Amino acid sequence: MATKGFTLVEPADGSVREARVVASDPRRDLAVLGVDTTGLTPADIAPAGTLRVGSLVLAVGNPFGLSGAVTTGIVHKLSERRRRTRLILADVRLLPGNSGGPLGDAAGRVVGVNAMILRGLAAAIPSDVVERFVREAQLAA
Amino acid sequence: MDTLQMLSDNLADAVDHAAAWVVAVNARPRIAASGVHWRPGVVVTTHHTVRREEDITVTLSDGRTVPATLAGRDAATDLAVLRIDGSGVPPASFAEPGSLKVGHVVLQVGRTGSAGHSASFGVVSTIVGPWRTWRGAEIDQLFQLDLAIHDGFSGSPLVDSQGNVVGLNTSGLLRGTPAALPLSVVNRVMDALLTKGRIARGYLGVGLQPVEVPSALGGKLDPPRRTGLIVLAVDADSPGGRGGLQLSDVIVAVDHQSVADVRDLLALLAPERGPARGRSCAAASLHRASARTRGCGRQRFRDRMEAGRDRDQRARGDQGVHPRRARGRVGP
Repeated sequence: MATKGFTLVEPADGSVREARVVASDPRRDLAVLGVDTTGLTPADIAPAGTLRVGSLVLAVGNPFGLSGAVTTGIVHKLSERRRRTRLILADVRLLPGNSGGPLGDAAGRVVGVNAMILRGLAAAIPSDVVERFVREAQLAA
Repeated sequence: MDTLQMLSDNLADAVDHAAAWVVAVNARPRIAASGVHWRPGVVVTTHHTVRREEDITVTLSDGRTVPATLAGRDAATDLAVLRIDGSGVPPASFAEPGSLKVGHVVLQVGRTGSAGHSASFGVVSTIVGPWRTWRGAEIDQLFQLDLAIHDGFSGSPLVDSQGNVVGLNTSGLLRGTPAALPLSVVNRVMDALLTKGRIARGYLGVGLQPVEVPSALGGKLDPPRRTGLIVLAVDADSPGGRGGLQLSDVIVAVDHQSVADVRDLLALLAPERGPARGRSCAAASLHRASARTRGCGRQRFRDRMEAGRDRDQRARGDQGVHPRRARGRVGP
């Protein structure tokens, strides 16, 4: 995310909504956007500890401007650490535009946020790290 | 229960089951390689990921790092065997030998440190064999895999959907592509390395390139020969060197059998053909613009470890016959 201030969000219902950057953390590579979420369903987050090496996962995102593209694979590693943060490494194809999108489990629950491609693998920030960041942002606001 | 969830749980169960006997082998700088606690106290890994012979350690699934000694290695099959104190972690459990088929779903489970294990998923793409590896070992089968290679691939076990070991993964036998050696090959090589420390293979000590012999020359030989292997490098202190082979000699036959490719020569040096001592080879001396069949002398192909530069080469199972083609870099 390069812009501070206003940005636009296009959810699955086809609407276009303005959003404000509420918080951003370059170290964890996360940002919280404040947006009017009327009519939108919040994510179903997987409980911590249910994901295992070998579990099926899928990444949904907007690679190359396509919307709602899905790629699938398995969890490659859960013990990767980078810049003092834990990362989920998945053997899933990620392309530019996937960043910020969800990594889901076989039940469709969110297990992480796709952040980057690391050594050919998809690297995602685990949901519990994201939840902590969002809580901190809400407390600060 | 939902099919996808069941598949996901089965894959994760298979990985968890196998992770108990996957180890990390610390035998090279930077990143560790994977290994398998194959039998109690015995770890198998790949030869190309073992870059030193002293101060090797192994990290077990319970997080402990223990010392290991190198029992032996074989460059031709890309295998190395280590001894450890394996008490506290289980040895591998194996699938029925010969049960793996093209299309079977397989997992690779690796370990590169004490933090945890990793996995990749795919299918058996082709089963090749019987096959001679590029360094001259005869193996009955090799599994080619449709599976992504990441750190920790070489030396890791290939497991089936139950988590039982069906092979040993290596990127060092098929030009960097993912492949796995079957149980029969790993066990046979492991038995030899544990008892003798190496696999005795005939050693010649030359670098060779296949050539077509011009008919003007090859036609003068008895019987006429059309193909040969030109000598581009000679280790003077080797059986080939001491037997009289020189740069630009063209080896046209060994034991009266024509050779057209380096693999033909490797086959004739193979341990399955019996001891290599005293074999004869016919070489045409092309650089003297004449063709004579001359014996290469009494080639004393030594099959014991000896002092000197060659000892490590022979200890690794390197036959000292190097095809001159780009070998590329072996990967993880």
